[in-house]
Amino acid sequence: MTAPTLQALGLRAGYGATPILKDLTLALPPGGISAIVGANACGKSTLLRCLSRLLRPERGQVVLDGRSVRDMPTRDLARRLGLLPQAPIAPDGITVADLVSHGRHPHQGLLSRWTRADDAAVADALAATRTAELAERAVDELSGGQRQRVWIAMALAQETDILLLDEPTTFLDIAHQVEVLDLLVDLNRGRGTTVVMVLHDLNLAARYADHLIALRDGQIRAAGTPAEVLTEEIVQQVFGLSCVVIEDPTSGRPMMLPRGRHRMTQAHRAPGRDPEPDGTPP
Amino acid sequence: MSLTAPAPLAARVASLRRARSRGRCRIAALIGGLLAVGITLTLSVGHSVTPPLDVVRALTGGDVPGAGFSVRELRLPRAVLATLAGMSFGLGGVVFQTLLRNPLASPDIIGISSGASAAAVVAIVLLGWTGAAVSVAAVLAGLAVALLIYLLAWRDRVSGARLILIGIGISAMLESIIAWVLSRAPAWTLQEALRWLTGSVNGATVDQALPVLLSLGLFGGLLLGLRREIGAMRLSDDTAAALGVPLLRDKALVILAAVGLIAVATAVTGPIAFVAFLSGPVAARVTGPGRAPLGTAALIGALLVLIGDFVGQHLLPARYPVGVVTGAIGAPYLLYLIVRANRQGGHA
Ligand SMILES: Nc1ncnc2c1ncn2[C@@H]1O[C@H](COP(=O)(O)OP(=O)(O)OP(=O)(O)O)[C@@H](O)[C@H]1O
Ligand SMILES: [Mg+2]
Repeated sequence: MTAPTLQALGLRAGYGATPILKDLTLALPPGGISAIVGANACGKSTLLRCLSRLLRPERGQVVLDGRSVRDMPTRDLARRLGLLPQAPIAPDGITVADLVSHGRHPHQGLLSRWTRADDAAVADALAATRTAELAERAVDELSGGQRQRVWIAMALAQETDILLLDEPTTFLDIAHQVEVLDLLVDLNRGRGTTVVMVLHDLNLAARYADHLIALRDGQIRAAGTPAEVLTEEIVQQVFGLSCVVIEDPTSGRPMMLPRGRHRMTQAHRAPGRDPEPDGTPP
Repeated sequence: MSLTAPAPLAARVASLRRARSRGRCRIAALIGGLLAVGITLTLSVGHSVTPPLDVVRALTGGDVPGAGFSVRELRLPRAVLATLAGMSFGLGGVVFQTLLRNPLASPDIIGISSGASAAAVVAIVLLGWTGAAVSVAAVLAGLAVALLIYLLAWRDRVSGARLILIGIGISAMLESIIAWVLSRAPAWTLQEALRWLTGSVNGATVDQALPVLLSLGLFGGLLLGLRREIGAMRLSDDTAAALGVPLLRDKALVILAAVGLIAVATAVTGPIAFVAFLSGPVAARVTGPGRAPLGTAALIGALLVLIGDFVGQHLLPARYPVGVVTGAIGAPYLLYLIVRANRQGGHA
C-alpha cells in the first residue's frame, strides 16, 4: 500500500464572519509524522477539523489521494482517516472496552455483524496503549492520563491510514507523554500510519515529528524539518517568546529553552528590560 | 512495544462482549416476562376476574359466557394499545435523552408531546377531524415544536440547558392552549379532558391501535437500523463524525423518527405523563451503562403504561386514567433531576 497523500489547498474556514484559517495551503508528508504547533487559539484544532471534514471550509478544499474529501462517502473517509478530538466526551459509565469498540464503527455496515477481526482490532488497540487491564473499568472513573490512553486506543481501533490527534499528550505526566509519542512512532513504522498531531511541547514535537508546521493567526508561518522550523526567529514570531535553541543531546534534534524575565543568567538577560538576578529592577 | 495483541486478549475482549450481550438478553427477557404478566392482568381483570384459561379460550375464539365480550372487545384492545403506546413513548423518549445527552431533554418535558397533544385536541374538538388526519396533524405539530425549540435555542450552537428551559416554557404555553380548547367544548367529560391533559387508554379500540402499530413498525424500524449511529452520537459530535456517522442526515432522521413515535401515540392516547421521561433512565439503571438502552426503554415504557393503567383502574379508591398514575411517579423524579441540575450549575 502506498502512503496516502493529504493536502489542504487554499483553505479559508471559521465559525462566523471572521475566518480563523486564512488561505492555508499545506501538504502532509505521506507516511510521515507531522506536528502542528502554535499559540492558543491560532487555529490548530480548526485545521484538524477541516482536514477531517468536520468543518466545511468556506473556500478551498482538502484533498486525499487526489480526491476532494467532500466527494467521499462519510464511512469510506472514516476508514482511512481517524481523528482524536481535543475534548472528547465519554457517555456516563461506559466501559473502556465498549468505548474502544466504537472505533470499529466505520468498518461495520448496516447488516454486517461484529467479527473476530473487530475483536482483534480492539485487543490490539488495548494492548498497544496498555489499557487492557482497564478493559472492564468505567471510563469516567479513570485518571486523566488513563482516559487519554483509552481515547487513543479508540482511534487506533479504527485502523486508519491517517491518524489526526489533537493534543494527545495533554493530562499526561512526562513519562506517559513519551510513551504515547513512542507509541505513535511504533504505529508509524509498524503499520505505516501517517500521523498528524497538535502538540504544545515544542521540544517533544521537534524530537518526534519529521515535519513541523508552525501556525500563526490561521496561517502557516513555517513548515519543514524540525531544524528548519524550530529556530529562535520563528519561535519569536509564532509565540512572541524569546528563546535559545540548542541541540538536544539525546536525539540530535533542535531543542528550545525559553527566555523569561526572571531567573536568567547574565548572558541571557535582556539588558534594560529584565530585573537583575537578585530581583532589583533594571 | 508490539502493535499486535496476544491472542488471549482478543479472546477476552470477545468474551467480555458476549457476557454483556447475554446480560442484556437476560434483562430483556425478564422485562418481557413482566410485560406478559402485565398483559395477562389487563386481560383477566375487569368488573369481574376472568381465570387465565378462560382468557385464552376467549382469545382463541372460544365461547366464554359472561367474559368473552369483555376480554375480546374491551380488555384486549386496551392491553394492545397500552403496550404499543408505552413502547412508542419509551423509545421516543430515550432517543431524545440520548441524542441531547440529558435525561431532562425528554419530549414530554420539552414540549413535543404537548405540541402533538394540542394539535390533536384542536383537530378533534375544533375541526372535527378523526383517524389518520389527527395523527398527521400531531406529527407535524411535534416536528414544528422541535424545530421551534431548536431555532430558539440556537446561538452559535445549541446548548442543552437553554434548549430544555425553552422547551419547558413552550410546553407550558401549549398546555394552556389545550386547556382553553377543552374549556370551549362543554360536551366533553372530565375523563376525555384528562386524556388530553395527562393521557389515558380508556375506551381503546383495535382501530385506534393500528396507527400506533404502523408508526412503531416504521419509525421503530428506522431507529433500529440507526442504533449503531445513535450509539456513536453519545460521544461528542466531532467524535461521532470522525467515526463516519453522517451527522446532519442521521440526526435529522433520528429526530424525525422519535417525534413520529411520540406524536402518533399521543394523538391516540394523549400525552401519557412522564412515560417518555421515565423509561430511558429506568432502562439505563437496569441494563447498566454501556449502550443506549433503546429496546429496553421501549419495554419499560410498555410496562409503565400497563401497570399504571392497572393501578389506576383497580387499585385506587376511584378510577383514574393511566396518566394520573404515571404522573404521580414521574413528578418526584423530575423534581429530583431539576434540584440536582441546579446544584451542578445547569448541567443535569
Ligand atoms: N465551535 C466554535 N464556534 C465559534 N468559535 C470557535 C469554535 N471553535 C473555536 N472557535 C474559535 O476559533 C479560534 C481558533 O480556535 P482553535 O480551537 O482552532 O484554536 P487552537 O489553536 O486549537 O487553540 P488551543 O491551543 O487553545 O487548543 C478561537 O478564537 C476560538 O475561539
Ligand atoms: Mg485546540
